[in-house]
Amino acid sequence: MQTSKYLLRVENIYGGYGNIEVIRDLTIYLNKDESIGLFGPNGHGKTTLFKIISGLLKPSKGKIIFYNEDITGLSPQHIVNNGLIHVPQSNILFPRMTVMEAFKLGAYSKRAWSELDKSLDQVFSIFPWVKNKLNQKCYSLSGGQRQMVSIGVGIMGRAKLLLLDEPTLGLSPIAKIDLLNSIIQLKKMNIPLVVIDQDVDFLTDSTDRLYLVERGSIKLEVNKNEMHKHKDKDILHMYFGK
Amino acid sequence: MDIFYTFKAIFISGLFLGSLYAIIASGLSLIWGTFRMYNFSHGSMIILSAYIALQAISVGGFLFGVITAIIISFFLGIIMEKIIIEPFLDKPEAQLIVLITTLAAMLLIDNSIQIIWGARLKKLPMLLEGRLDFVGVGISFQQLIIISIVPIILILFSIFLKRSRIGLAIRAVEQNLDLSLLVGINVRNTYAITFGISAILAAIAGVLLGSNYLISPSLGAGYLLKAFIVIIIGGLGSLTGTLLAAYMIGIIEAAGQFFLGLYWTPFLLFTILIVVLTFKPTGFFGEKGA
Repeated sequence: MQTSKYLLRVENIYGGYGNIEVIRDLTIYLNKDESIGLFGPNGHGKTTLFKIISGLLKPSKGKIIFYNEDITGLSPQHIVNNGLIHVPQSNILFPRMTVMEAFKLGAYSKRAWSELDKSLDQVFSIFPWVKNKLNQKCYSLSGGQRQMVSIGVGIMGRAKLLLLDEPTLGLSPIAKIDLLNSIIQLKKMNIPLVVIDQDVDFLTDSTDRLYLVERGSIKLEVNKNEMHKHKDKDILHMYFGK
Repeated sequence: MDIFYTFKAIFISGLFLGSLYAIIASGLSLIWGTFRMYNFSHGSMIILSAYIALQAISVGGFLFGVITAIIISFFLGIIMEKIIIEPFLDKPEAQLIVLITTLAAMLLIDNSIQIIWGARLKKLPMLLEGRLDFVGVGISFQQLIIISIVPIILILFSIFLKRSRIGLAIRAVEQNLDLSLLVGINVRNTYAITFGISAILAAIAGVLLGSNYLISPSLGAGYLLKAFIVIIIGGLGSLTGTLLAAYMIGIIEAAGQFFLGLYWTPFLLFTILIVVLTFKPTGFFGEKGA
């Protein structure tokens, strides 16, 4: 049996909400030692794709394979226990709980609970400012702080893969730079990422390869270095604004 | 009769009633907080536990009876959740459906009690017989024990919710269901255990009530109503609010019984409910939109 060189394979996925099909025949791959980014117009299925991968939604067709295990249709609990962690968009966290409690919950799965202290140290090394906020309630955090605590919660799950949905949403340019630095540290810890974001510059700085998601499927795959060489200049124009 | 004595008597009576309401309402509040639904069978579960305790006490004595009742109630709660709540959680109008299913459960439980144990009034044995003089007011040992035990039980319950891994999960599911799924919480199991814990609180309430008052199969609805008033005035979704409201209502009811008599006291309570809801629709500590 061959060991796949792919960390994550999402193959020919169809899915959506009830009768509304949002994802149509979507395929993406994540190789080992790389991070990928997803960009494209709003409402075209990127968040829905994450929900399907993390088990919140079931696909109607297609397969998802993570580290050689078929995780299609498994429960979110099972998928989290495998180390595939989805950090949702505009996360309100657990509003009336403290930041520390939120981190503890991040480590709720059996796999992560025993390494709680180790994970906490990792979170502190990436977000040092959080040490002073541990007793603060989640609802009192600013948008940017909430974003970063959300990523911290994902790290607490001993992630083998992190799905980040719009991490720069609502962040000031300075906060985005901080976030970028945090992501670079994540990559140093060998945690691969799949990132959805509006800010394509941010995506090119934080990931190695991009997919354009339009109308529920992949319209374009771009390697960072190929950006200026690519033929479909019009699409790139729209998104990269050059 | 000097006014100081009157105040003391009302206050102590109020503490006693408040303790009862606090333990009765806490189980209901837990269910509302977690499921955002009303468990109409809560009052009946209280009474059922009292009858189970009565039966078990006759077999193995008081302590055995109480512990058995609590354990059986826990598992009954889990079974109930699996049958009348869980299958309907994903449906549209889930809240309405669960309202009906718990109502149905209430009728089933009340009638089962009547069939199994008959309609005659019964009473659990008391923990301690006798009365004593407490700060110049006559009070039974039973009442004193209840006044002291209930706060301890509720504090332990609060600590459990705050510190234990399960308690963390219950509170997480209450505050953000999607994120709870995404951190790997088994939400179905958490729901079931929450109902079981609510049943444990109902069982404790049942034992305390049954050892102090006569019980009969039809009493569940009355306690359910009181519990509703408490959690609505205290604010839905807030355990602190529930507890404060319970003691407040206990004292008001004690005062009402003294000045207005037993007949007018329910009227007084409902008036207070209406006043509170007029000025603070979410109750004293309630969440917005509750």
